Amino acid sequence: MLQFKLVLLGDSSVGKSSIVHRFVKDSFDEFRESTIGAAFLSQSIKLDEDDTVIKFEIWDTAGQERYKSLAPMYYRNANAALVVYDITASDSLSKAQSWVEELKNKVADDKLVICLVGNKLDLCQEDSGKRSVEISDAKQYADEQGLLFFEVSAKTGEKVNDVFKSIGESLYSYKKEELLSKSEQNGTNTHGQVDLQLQKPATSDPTSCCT
Amino acid sequence: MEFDESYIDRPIKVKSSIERLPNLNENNDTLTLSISSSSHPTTSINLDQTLFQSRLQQPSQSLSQSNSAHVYNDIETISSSVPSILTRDNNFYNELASITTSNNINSWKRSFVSNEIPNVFKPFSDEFLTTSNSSSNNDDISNYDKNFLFLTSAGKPIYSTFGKDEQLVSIMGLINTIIHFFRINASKELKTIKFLNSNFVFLNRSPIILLAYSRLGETTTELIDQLDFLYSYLISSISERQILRLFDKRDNFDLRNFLEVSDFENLDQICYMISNKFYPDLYLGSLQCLTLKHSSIRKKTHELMIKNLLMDSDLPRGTLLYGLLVYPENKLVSVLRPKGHTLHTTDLHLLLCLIFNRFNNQDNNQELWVPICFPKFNANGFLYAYINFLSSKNNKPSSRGTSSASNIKNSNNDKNCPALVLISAQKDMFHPLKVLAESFINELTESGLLDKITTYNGFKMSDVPAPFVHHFIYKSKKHVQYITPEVDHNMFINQMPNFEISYASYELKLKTYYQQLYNSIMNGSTGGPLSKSILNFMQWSISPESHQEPDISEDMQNSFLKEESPNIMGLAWVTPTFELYLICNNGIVDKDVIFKSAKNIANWCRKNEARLFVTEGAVY
Ligand SMILES: Nc1nc2c(ncn2[C@@H]2O[C@H](COP(=O)(O)OP(=O)(O)OP(=O)(O)O)[C@@H](O)[C@H]2O)c(=O)[nH]1
Ligand SMILES: [Mg+2]
Repeated sequence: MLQFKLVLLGDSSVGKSSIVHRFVKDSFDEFRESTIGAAFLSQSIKLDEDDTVIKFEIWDTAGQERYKSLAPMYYRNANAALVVYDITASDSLSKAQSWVEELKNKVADDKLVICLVGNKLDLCQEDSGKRSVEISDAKQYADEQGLLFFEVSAKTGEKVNDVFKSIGESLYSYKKEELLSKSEQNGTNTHGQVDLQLQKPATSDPTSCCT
Repeated sequence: MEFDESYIDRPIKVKSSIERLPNLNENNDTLTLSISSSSHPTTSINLDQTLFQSRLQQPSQSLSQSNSAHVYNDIETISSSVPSILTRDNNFYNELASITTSNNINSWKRSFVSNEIPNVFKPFSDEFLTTSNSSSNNDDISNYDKNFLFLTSAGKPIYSTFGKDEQLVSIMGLINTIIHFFRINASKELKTIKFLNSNFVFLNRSPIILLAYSRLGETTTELIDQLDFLYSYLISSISERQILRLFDKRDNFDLRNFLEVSDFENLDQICYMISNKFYPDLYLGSLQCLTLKHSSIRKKTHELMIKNLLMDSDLPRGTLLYGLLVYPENKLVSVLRPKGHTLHTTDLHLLLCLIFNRFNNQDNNQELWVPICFPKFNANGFLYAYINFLSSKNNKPSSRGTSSASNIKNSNNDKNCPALVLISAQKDMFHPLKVLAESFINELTESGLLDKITTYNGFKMSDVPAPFVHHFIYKSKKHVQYITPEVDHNMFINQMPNFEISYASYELKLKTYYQQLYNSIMNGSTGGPLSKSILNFMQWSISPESHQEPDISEDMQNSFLKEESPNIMGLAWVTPTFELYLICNNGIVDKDVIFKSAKNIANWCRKNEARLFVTEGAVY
């Protein structure tokens, strides 16, 4: 099993918590309250490739401006970031873009997987007049920046699992590269052993955060 | 112990009650209590200020319980008994000590316990029985009997519980003018304006001014406490330093732009709770403690806290400041704390409100990491709370009454999940604390303690040898905690489609009885109790003459269907070690009997102290 840390960023009420809950509990709450501080959850998925099980340790952060200064604490050690905007609110995309920039500037790990996610697709399927971010614009931006990109609906669940699966696949392919180059150096190690060694310190390791 | 009949107060009108007082001194011998003539009762209910007088002219809106569906429009005066403030002499305690457990147990078990107490108060309007925001169909501010408003010292509106925005702006402008008028012309802080039944109370926490407005008979002290709590909430969310900094730059800063939706929601929740729920925590300045079946459960939980959260941890000392196990409805289960330090009750009230009002519908597969400023701990800095809702996975939802009745209590959440809270001053301690929490929770679950905590549903009135007492609150001063019997939800079952309303109105009724009882022993001007030791009986009843007004003969046939007329006695008993407030069954007015039960309660609480209260906690 591989363990990765994932953080969700984005403006308040774009649906970060809703996406996480769709992914973790396969449920949706119309009246979800705005997140205070941050919530920590985990969920595992199985990739088609090699039957690999990937466990995500997820930080669902608060989008409220007040908590912005705490964000580095959550993305600092992340392997993946899910940057969410609301496709019915165009200013939420610019907020997402500024998160992408911040991640690129502040996270040293060049293997950080960033996924741009436009949420509330169901609203535009009901009434296309509600859309205020064109899919082509967002897609173009994502391509330029080398981001994964999806439009999803936490409400209907459409594409939500695909987001996590595709992040998992990217992370796994990075990990395989790493393993290959490592085992070329060391020669004899079997896969299983290397897996454990190469993992970033699990979040459950008490030493990982206090130094 | 014999009582002189004449000691027992009869329902009389308030004005005469004060005149009757001196007589009490002559009659007190039989009680072997001395009445301090110095502590004259300022405690009689002044009906002009209470809510029931003029309002009672309206027929009740059928919100009262079906079995007490009394129309109180014939009440002219609700009489309060002569409040008797008694100070203790030594005999008092001797007496208390002499009450042994040899009470005839059968007698109280057999005693009739009425399930319902009548409502002598103004029929509660819908606004109070439904959640705060649902009554937005009529936003006119004058429609509300109670409201909280905050504005900045420069007169900018910040928050109001009820009311339309446009209306508020002009009202707040007016308030601001009045406040400034007093400041300039009398160089005095305006504290309160009383007008007919209305009480306006101001609290100046420059740069924020808070105003409470109530037509519900609440005292100035009560309203100030409530405002202070609301202000504490603001601090807990943004810290005092931040507030000052924001206004430092600009006097006319608009704080609304800085507050988040969640702040307004939380304020609404707190206002709703302190206005409508049975929440004596605030005026008692204490926390409710979860009663356990055996004291060993708490003891073992504390041992596990020490072991798993401290001994087995290699974190630097002081990383974990406090550990709390808390239970829905703002109850304390166990506490881990440094020697010589306790968290202030206001801070704990805020924390518990946040946990159980804000996060109560969170599912328990997530852990939270929440920055919170504890105003009394340090109003300028933030602490970080690790919060984990424990699920006792093999636990069925507890069986409180029928399942539907238990939903009243846990409408969002039909499991009684305690929450573990670990508090640190360091913002990046989540993961280390999570590790400690997991090992603690594991052992708590495996040892079966968690099940024992979640399956016991507190004690019932019938567990206490206190005949004729309907309900009580016992506060242990040493522990700054109180306990109260669980309300038997079965008594709402027969009000089936409406039991949610029934329960809410019962809660509000209970709250009002206790509030008036409590206020009867409070010094209106200083806010403290009138004396260190107080025994005060209070009676709510319909005065005989007004009761006879309606044509009884006409109603004769139905009269047996009607409930007996309300005649409720309450007792407030304050000693240096505890405070006891109790409400008797309707019609029980024999003070001898009541005081005997009161002593039984005090004895029972003392005997069961360890399972009723967190006595020491896990101290490190
Ligand atoms: N129609 C629709 N509504 C959604 C969707 N996702 C979320 N919402 C609603 O949008 C609101 C905000 O969702 P949240 O998940 O709380 O947003 P958030 O990003 O976590 O917000 P913060 O916690 O404040 O940062 C809620 O009322 C959701 O019910 C969606 O896919 N479709
Ligand atoms: Mg959220």
